[in-house]
Amino acid sequence: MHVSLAGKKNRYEFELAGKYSILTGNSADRKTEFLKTMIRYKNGVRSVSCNISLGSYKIRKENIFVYSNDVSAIDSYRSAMLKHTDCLFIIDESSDIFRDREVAAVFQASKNYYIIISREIMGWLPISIDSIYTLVNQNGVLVNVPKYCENNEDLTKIKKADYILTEDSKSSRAFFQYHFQCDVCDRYYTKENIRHTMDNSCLHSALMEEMEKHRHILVAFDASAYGYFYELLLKVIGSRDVSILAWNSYENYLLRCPKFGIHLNKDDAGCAYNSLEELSYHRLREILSGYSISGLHSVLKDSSFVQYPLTLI
Amino acid sequence: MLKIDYGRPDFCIDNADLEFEEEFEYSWLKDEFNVRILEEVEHALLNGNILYDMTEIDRTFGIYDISSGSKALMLTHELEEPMVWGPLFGDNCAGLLLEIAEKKDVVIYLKNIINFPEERFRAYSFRLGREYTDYREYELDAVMGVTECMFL
Repeated sequence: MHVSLAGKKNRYEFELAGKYSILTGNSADRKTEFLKTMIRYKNGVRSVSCNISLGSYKIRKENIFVYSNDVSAIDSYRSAMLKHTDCLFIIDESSDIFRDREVAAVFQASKNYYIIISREIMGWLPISIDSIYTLVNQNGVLVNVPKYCENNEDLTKIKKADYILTEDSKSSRAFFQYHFQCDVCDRYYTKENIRHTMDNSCLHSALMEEMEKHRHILVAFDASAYGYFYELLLKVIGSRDVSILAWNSYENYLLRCPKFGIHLNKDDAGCAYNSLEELSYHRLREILSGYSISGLHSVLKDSSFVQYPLTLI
Repeated sequence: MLKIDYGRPDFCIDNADLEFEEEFEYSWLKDEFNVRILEEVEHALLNGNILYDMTEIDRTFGIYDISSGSKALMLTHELEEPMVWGPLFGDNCAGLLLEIAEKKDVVIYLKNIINFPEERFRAYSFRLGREYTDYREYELDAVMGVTECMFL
């Protein structure tokens, strides 16, 4: 998606992809000003122009919805998000819609694009790490720059590992166990006598415990839905030497392997899927008969699915 | 003292725009600290009631157009017993926030991790029931605290 918004005082040029984009960063870097300028555009202010396009498809003014901090939308946002499709919703951090208990379900069911201005860690949204941006002034134009990486897989750094900590399914754990000769975490971990399923919301907590027991850990996560947890993981890692495997998702990785040769990215997911992870899972299920997350499919035991050098582990 | 808890309780200031509209008085602009907020966070110089962008001299704006972080800082500075939602503050507000907390109790509720200047950091953790012993303890406590309230 290309967003071009120009008023007398500010000019914005964004390149975005996928359903959710997050604008975050320091105060006073004109994130809210972007939203206010968009409101002026929607209200027909003459000196403000805007062009939002997805390839040849243009998002028209009436298909842009703006939820600012000072206008209550908690009673109206649900019908707007669920009735419309392929629209753009721009939401500021203190909008009261985030107080609604149903907000997670509404976002996930909605087939629209979102630009969310916020520093809050919203664990209920599957944000891609490479969809988190800050704003930078480049020659008078405010552009979005990635906070962490241009592409999720740029975060991958694999050194020595004798223990793999992953938040993923039984299938991916079985994949690691089959192809790599090292320990892989269990499906559950226990903290303070409470058993937790090893999902992306507790990977960093599990890492805190495991760093005491293992010297060489590889943390593997589906970066296309891990955006909000990545900051927490970085804080836990601190200055420790921890290997990271930041594939877009396990299924996305398998699809790219030579056997299937299918390359999917956020543009393919569009707003029809909440994340590239979700799209990749559905696509893999379509092409690999009998694929499920509860076990390792026999086809996936082929060595051609190992694209990272075995010698590093 | 800066006091840190986690979540977004109804009673905390979580909408700086609306709170500022209600509370702001132009006499606040006579306060040196508030002027510093405008200079250090907004990069703006105050002349009368108009703010001039120090980086783009032709750009002017009004006090109600400042960022939510600056509004939250001014509210924290001016109000008694401030209880403020942490995500309102960008990291560039953190030093000034610590300065405010040197003079009075300030409670912030985090749903993110604010990066404070480590050498000046001192705060109380409601979650631990005591002051942090060092900055690393704050970071790990914040990870756990934010995780626990992430889905609330």
